[in-house]
Amino acid sequence: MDLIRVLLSRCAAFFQRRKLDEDLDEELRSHVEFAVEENVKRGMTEQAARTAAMCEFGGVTQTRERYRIQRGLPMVDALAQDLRYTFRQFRHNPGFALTVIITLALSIGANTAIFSIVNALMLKSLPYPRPERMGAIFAHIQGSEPFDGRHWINGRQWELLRDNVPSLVSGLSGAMATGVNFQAGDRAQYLHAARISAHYLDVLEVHPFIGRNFTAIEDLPHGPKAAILSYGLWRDTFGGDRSLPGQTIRLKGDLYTVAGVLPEGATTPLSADVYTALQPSREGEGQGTNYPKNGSHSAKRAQVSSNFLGRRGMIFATI
Amino acid sequence: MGENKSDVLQGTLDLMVLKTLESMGPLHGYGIARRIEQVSDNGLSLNQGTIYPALLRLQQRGWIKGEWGASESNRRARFYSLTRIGRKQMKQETENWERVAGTMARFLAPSN
Repeated sequence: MDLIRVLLSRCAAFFQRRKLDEDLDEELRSHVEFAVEENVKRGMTEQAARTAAMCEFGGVTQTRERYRIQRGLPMVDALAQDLRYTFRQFRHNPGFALTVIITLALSIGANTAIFSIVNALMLKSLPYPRPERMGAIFAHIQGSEPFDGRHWINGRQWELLRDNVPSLVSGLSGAMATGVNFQAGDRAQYLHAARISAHYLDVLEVHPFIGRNFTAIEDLPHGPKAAILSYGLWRDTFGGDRSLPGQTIRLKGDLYTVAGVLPEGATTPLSADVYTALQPSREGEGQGTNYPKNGSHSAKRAQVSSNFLGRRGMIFATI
Repeated sequence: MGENKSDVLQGTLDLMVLKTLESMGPLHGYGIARRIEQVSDNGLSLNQGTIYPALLRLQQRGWIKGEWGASESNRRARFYSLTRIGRKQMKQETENWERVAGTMARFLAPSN
């Protein structure tokens, strides 16, 4: 209780220190005058009375200093003084100041950037269950040509993985979410849409909280067109209508059946508003980029990326 | 400084100030200092200046308050008086001090 009161009083004093300094000076002056007055009454000369008074008081300057330290916030005072000194020095020597500021800015910036990366990649785990069992799959190409490191696997390899490695839950997504025009009833809206394969959400272990995931048929070329909505889109545009799954919406002019809605807070690396089935195909839309003619050329839509955080297309899998 | 003067023990000055204000009513710094000197019969080596940090400490705790006023000789001075909290605290401080002094006295008494 006392501690709080003292602290408050110190803070208050800090902001009116000029007035309080004047008050203190006047108080100490009046103290000395009282003493002089009394000494003169006792028969001393004015001069002797003053000397005796000062002697009894024992150091006006020291008292003032002790008083000041105890009254305000001496550390803040010192800090303010240092800051004022700094700015004076900077004004006198702007070249030096600029060098210091730029050096500091660059080093702080670099540190922040590096920490952000380390934080995202190494410290924070992915916002999915069992992130340690999640990975991206790359092709390693050996041959006469010097290939280094990792390559996107191509569409055929993807199909092989998907169909022949039962211990993997493999998912595939388009390279990034793209803008589409969206229409439902009389509403039109510009949205980010992404294409994902049937088991993409299973890899992330994100499950629609109403409705369902894509079926295998929906992910086949020319299969029924279906869409999964993000929670935000469902809430804001459809007013949280729980009977929405099964109804149709119009994307890029085509009709899609709403399969399901993702739960609140669920994110994917694509951060899209609406997801449609990837329906990887060897012909038609996308053709050559969909499936490359030879394996050394990576497939745009079957890109695999080590970068979980970017919006690159990726195949990833859980064991 | 006389050889036979004692230093003021930490914490005792505060209680002396409180007691002085209780018995004398509102008083300025010089008055308090003189009063302490008189009561102690000049047996304390007290720089009058040290009274001011003590007064500040008591004000910060809210035990006393200071107000500008005029003295009998019509000199402007800051007059200090006890607050309600100060009165209560003084009782407690007095008890504490008496307990310590009593204990000291028992130690110093000639052993039988």
